[in-house]
Amino acid sequence: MAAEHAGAATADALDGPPLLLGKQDNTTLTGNLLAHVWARPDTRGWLLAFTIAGFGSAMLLLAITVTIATGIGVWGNNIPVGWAFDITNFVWWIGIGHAGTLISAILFLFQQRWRTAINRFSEAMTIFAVMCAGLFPLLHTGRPWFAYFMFPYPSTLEMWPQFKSPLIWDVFAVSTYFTVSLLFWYLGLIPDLAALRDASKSKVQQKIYGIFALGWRGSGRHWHNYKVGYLLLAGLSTPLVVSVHTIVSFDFAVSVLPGWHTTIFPPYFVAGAVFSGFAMVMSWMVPARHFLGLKHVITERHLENMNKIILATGMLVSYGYLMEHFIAWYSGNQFEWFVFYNRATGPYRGVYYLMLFCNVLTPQVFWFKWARNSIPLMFVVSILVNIGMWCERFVIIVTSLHRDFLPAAWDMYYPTWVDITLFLGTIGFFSTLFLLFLKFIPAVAVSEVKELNEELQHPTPPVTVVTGA
Amino acid sequence: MTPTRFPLPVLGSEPSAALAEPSAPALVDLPDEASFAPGRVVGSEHGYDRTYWRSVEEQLHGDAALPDRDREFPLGAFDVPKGFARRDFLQLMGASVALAGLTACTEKPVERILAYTKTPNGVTPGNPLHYATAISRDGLAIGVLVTSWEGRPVKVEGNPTHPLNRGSTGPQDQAELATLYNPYRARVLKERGAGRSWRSFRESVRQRAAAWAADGGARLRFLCEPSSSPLLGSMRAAIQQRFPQARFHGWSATPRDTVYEGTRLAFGQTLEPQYAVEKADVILSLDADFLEARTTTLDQNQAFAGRRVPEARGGMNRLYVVEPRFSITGAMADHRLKHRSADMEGFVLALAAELGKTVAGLGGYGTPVGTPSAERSKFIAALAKDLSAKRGACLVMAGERQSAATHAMVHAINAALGNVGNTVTYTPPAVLDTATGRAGWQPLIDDLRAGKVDTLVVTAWNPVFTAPADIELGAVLKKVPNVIYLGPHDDETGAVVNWFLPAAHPFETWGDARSRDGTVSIVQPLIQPLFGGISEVELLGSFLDGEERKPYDRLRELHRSKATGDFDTEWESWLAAGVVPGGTLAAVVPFVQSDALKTALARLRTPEPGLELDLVADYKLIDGRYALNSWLQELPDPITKLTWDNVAQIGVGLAKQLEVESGDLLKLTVGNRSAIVPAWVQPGQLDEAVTVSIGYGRKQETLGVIWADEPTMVGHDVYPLRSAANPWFATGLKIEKTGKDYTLSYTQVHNTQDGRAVALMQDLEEYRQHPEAPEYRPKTNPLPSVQPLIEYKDQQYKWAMAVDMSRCTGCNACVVACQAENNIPVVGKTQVRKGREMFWIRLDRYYTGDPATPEMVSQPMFCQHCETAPCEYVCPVNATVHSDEGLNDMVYNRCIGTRYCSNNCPYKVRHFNYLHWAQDKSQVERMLMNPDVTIRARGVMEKCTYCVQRIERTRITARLENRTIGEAELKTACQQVCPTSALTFGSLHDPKSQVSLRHADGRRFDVLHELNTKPRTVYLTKIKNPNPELA
Amino acid sequence: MEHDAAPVGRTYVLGQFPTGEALVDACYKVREKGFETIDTHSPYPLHGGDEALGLRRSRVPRIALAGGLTGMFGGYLMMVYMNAINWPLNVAGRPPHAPPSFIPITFETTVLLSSLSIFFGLLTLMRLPQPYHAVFENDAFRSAVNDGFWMSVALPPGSDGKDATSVLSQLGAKDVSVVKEDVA
Repeated sequence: MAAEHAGAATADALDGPPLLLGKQDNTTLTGNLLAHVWARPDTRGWLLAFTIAGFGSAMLLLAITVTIATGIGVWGNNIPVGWAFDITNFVWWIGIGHAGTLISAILFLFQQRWRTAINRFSEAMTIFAVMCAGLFPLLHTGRPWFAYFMFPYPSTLEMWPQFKSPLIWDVFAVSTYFTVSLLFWYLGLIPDLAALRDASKSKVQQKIYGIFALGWRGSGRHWHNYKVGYLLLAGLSTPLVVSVHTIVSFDFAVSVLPGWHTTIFPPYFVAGAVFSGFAMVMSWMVPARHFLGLKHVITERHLENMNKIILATGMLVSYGYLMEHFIAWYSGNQFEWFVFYNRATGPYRGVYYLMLFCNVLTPQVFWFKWARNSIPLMFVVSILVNIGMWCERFVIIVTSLHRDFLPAAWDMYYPTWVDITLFLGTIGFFSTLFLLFLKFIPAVAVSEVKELNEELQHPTPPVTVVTGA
Repeated sequence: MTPTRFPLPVLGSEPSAALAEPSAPALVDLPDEASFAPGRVVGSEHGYDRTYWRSVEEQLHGDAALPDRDREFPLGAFDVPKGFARRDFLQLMGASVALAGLTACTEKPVERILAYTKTPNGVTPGNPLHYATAISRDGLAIGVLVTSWEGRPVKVEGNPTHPLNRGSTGPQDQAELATLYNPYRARVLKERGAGRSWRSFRESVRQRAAAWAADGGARLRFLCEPSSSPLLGSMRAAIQQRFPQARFHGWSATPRDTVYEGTRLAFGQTLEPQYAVEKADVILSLDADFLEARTTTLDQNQAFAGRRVPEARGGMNRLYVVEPRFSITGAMADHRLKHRSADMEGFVLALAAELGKTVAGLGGYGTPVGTPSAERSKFIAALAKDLSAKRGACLVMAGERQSAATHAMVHAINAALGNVGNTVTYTPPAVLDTATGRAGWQPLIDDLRAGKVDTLVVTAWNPVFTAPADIELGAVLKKVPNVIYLGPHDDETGAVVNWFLPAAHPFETWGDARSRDGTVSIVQPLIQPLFGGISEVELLGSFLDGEERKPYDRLRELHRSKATGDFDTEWESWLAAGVVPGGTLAAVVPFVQSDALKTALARLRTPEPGLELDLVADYKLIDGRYALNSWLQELPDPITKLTWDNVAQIGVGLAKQLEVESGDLLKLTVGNRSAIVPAWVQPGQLDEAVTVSIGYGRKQETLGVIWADEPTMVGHDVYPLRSAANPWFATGLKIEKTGKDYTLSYTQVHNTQDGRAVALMQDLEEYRQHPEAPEYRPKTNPLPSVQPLIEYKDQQYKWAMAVDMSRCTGCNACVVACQAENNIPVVGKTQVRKGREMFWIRLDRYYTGDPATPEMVSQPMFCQHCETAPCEYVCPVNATVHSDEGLNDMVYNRCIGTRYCSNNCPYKVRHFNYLHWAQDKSQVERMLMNPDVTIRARGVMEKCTYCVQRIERTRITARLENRTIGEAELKTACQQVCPTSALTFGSLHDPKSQVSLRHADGRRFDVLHELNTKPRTVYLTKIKNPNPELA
Repeated sequence: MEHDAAPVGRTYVLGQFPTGEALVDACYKVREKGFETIDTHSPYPLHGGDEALGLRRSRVPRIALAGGLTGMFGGYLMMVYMNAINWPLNVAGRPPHAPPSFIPITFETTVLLSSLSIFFGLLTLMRLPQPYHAVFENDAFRSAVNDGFWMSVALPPGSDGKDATSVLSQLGAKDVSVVKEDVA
């Protein structure tokens, strides 16, 4: 049986270590995949982590209160640097939010079986990241209480939004992305919620999970529509993912500012988003699979595949850097060229070189198989990439703004404690949500893994996801 | 008229007195005088204007809570004086409207006052009135029109009918209102810290008067602010008549003595030189900063600028400047020689000697001392050639800082060159006392030391603070039995006197003044004294016998003689026009008394070499009298772009040699006196000299103000470095580094154009040879666009602006005018440091060439109102859009503050309300707000609007009269004040309008034309006219 | 689609099969016996399950298309109305109706409405949420969403379900039982 199992594994499109370790059947899978949900909430590690994250969220709340009560003046922003940490964080979080949908949608369309183990995980990450990202466009406005001006509500004054502004595109893109990701995630979650409902011993859990399971009973007539719906959502999410960061990049590309006004931004931003997204998934998955005992489902095979993607997208990002600089030089536009000269030699050069180190150099280790399989190494790299991508956004936003066209208008930006607290606070908030997720919802898509397990054990006939007639 | 009909209930029991008296003391009760007084005020008494004192007495005995001292911002956010309840505020308004009536001068003001409840003639609520008055500085006046809203003055503008300034003003004149509404002005008349009444003061004077009458006032002295007021002159005369032995002395921290001594030396009589700069083809300025926009120089600004454009009639003039520091005038110079002040006499002698070779009458004035540098010799050679070539059409000027000998030589040279009568004429001085420096007060100091004085009346501004250190005036005054000080603040001087009298602001009192050319203007009050101030006229009046007389009556009586016809009619017309005819001084033709001059020059000693300290009047605070004026404090210095501080300007070479950087605290020592000042490395500053501006470093406790984020003072006090002998410069300066740093806030961090074509500058010859414009000038190089261009053809107006950089001196007048007109908040030193200053006009200052001897170009930068504005299409909520006539409108209440517009603005002329700048404004300061302009809320973007409120007001008038808006009647605030007419505004649909002509000018260019933003504001290249021989 | 969900108020016969394949085979057999109103219950979609139940093509794609088109035209027309028709403004000299600038939002609204219609379309087709269903009466049925493979046969009114029970038992179904909907 084990041999057959291995055979099944190697029969998969990607070779390498198996996707599922050990002999599993539906019962064992139900047992060990839901186990961490049954575990008492006072698990030490979880509690410790949750306390720290909770503190972070509290700090976020404080920083938000201070900002709204006093005004954006508590930040370091000024004229010319109208955007700084705020939008940097926004773009960073949105980028991170890209891995989830990408993994679950695109890999789903390509029938990458290895996705099943990690999609639930990364979809959740998407939703939480987008929640953090969404904070900033709201907070960064001088008068957040009027932010609703940006929505096309029927106002008696007939004052409408200005649809030529990339910021409005952002509003639509981000809110759409959040809604669709949430639907996609929840739809995939329904069978597992039902599983929780029926596998649970406690009446309370049965009630609560029962409510969210919507009365799912695994009916074949339901699966019939469900599979199609899920596939279609995946199909829609795929261009959506690409569109969101494209539009975020428009915030910059559409402006006239040297260093922002760049046609390469859309693909370069999307690549960067996937890059940072995968890195963030990695940073969380490595500890999670260890502490939640999911090593048999999230195998080294998954990690290695992800490292390959990190390497690929990292190369794309590096290419983006290269092109930016080349075009700046090749265009002969003195303003354009100065921006890049200033990035490398100006007062913020430290951030610039840190960015190059983290985003261009570190991923290169993944050319080596041993590196792709070394858990500690990939963890470190993923953290560095996260840092690097934050720096990239800072470099793009601040160094372009602080020295633009007229030398007389140049100035410097220095963050205040509120800026920093806001940033760290969102990380805390993200972690809080994520820990709650890990606590109460199966971290891997149970029913999909069971299906995968079934396929691995009975390879023929190869299943086609596209069903119907 | 019965009291019951009078709408101001706080008025006293004899309303008639208060009413007939236009400038009665403040009608409001101020619950917290005590909190503004240095010491706890004890006791009081009944007295004149009982109601007023009754209420104050209540206050003094009540518990006057000190205002909250903890403010995030400096002056910009004053503590709220709790003195103005809403009720009182309305009373103030009422009172001032009473005045609005009076200024039009009816015999029965009451009717005008009553009319406030009905609509009085002239006063239409919601429509401002303009009153002509005058502002004096150094005793010399300019005519201004003050805009008054329901009796509340909110804007100062130059009086176009005044012959001297012809509508222009300087920054200080614009900022006078911030001084008027300064809630820290003194409010209590005190005797040794105890509140007293005006009546009891007069009583004390009356008692002493007996003694003075006995000895003819031998022990009575007056120390006066420089003045040209005929009224004050007549009162002085009257006092002299009553007390023949009494003496009047002049006092000024910025004396013009050397000017008059110079004429005495040269011509043997005291004269005022009147320069006709417009007639001069070649101008030499020996440290004469005649392009700074001051009441004494505004006419010269205009005249100079008129000859500064290539197409000027008579051709473009050429300016040579010899000075130690980098001044506004130096920045405009075609050729500038860095030169020690101490050697200036040497320079003039050398010049005279050089000229003497070709020009008769300049021989024998002695040979220059010391060994001149090769650079200087070359400069003088070329200069002398240029001057002698332009005899009768050239002009040599010497600065007030320079010695009498220098001035005398300058007069001699002008005379020899035949300039007298052409480019320079001489008149008797308009000022009352021509000796306001040492010559003026030294005898007084001696008398004080000798104890020959028992009563000293000080009306000069804060002499204890501005006095040269070596006379220790404070200590001296303490010994005088009875010192009476009339001052706007209970300041350093107030601390050492017996009687302190709160002074009324010139906008609160009746008076008169003359300008440099002698023109007489009536100073009429715009508002009742806000804080019960007393005017100098009233003070001097108390030394004249008899019952008190109103300044208003004295004034009318004095000028009654001038009337040719019916006095009242003419009087009203004088008030309306702001000028009393027949005041202009007749020119005299003096002759150089060369022998006397030569003997005087023979006494000149060789100045010792080495480092020189140059003290200069500050471009903003002048001598420190504006230290509490937040507008001027935050105003960037025209050269250094510093706010809130003064610095020791150090040449690039010296800085390198001393290894000093801007911000290092230095200890400057001259002789045994020293002061701590932060260093500032200033391009163009002479390496042998260090320049520091005076007037800073006022101690908080003496001002009743706390600047929460500042140590103990704003700026650093350098008066201790002053000597009575030479207030302006001293050799033998020693510099020590203290090793400490000091944080400076400045508005421009990068000083060169970085090789970018932003502010264009060309030499005249180059421009002549290549009149076709450089490639970034739009006419020669229209950019393609895929967009259908909106033509604005169907609109009646197409507003636009043009800036002639050849004319712009960077004097800052427009910046303050814009601030006053548009309610632009002051944000304080800390926020300026963070890059959040709010000025809608940014005077970009770029250096070119060698840092040691740079050229400077000043480029006013404000919203360009681009037709394809990058700011607009990125706004998500339509908060900034184009008006039909092409204005880039900012919709404050729609703005949510994403700041995207600012990020996308290539000119970075938008300013963001990062905090609620206006929230800490006191009631008094709120009176300053222009009701036509919104106070911007926190989190809102703002920027130049082309003064849209003015456009709309004019449009209404024009529509009512069923005509189109004329060019002359609509001026933006910045354009209106500009002393050099560098700014023009108007409609491009009027082909003959100035702005259209400039848009069509060969020098016109668009900043950042390559972005194709199609700005409505365009610039004209700065043209310089260098001497080929010095090229 | 008369087969979509078991009609309400009926009785069901439940039977559990060891594996998915067994369940699928059973479906064909049961339908041969003339029982059309059957349904399968499994933790994950059964391979060939749809054919076994004889289901037709799903209607979800058409719903998605309808939603998408609504979003596309609705979004674009909204922008045209607001910026070009109802309140045209001179924004930076750009034309009020600027198609290129309207593309991103048009795309987003398309995706948004299409996704929403898919999700709520699904719920409608599946008649969810449906907290109570007769099959939950059998406690052993709880394994259906975890590791069990069940078949449910909806009985016509009045039928006691003996025949269906026997059929399932013959096919080797374990713990075959009749569940009645608790109408009370």
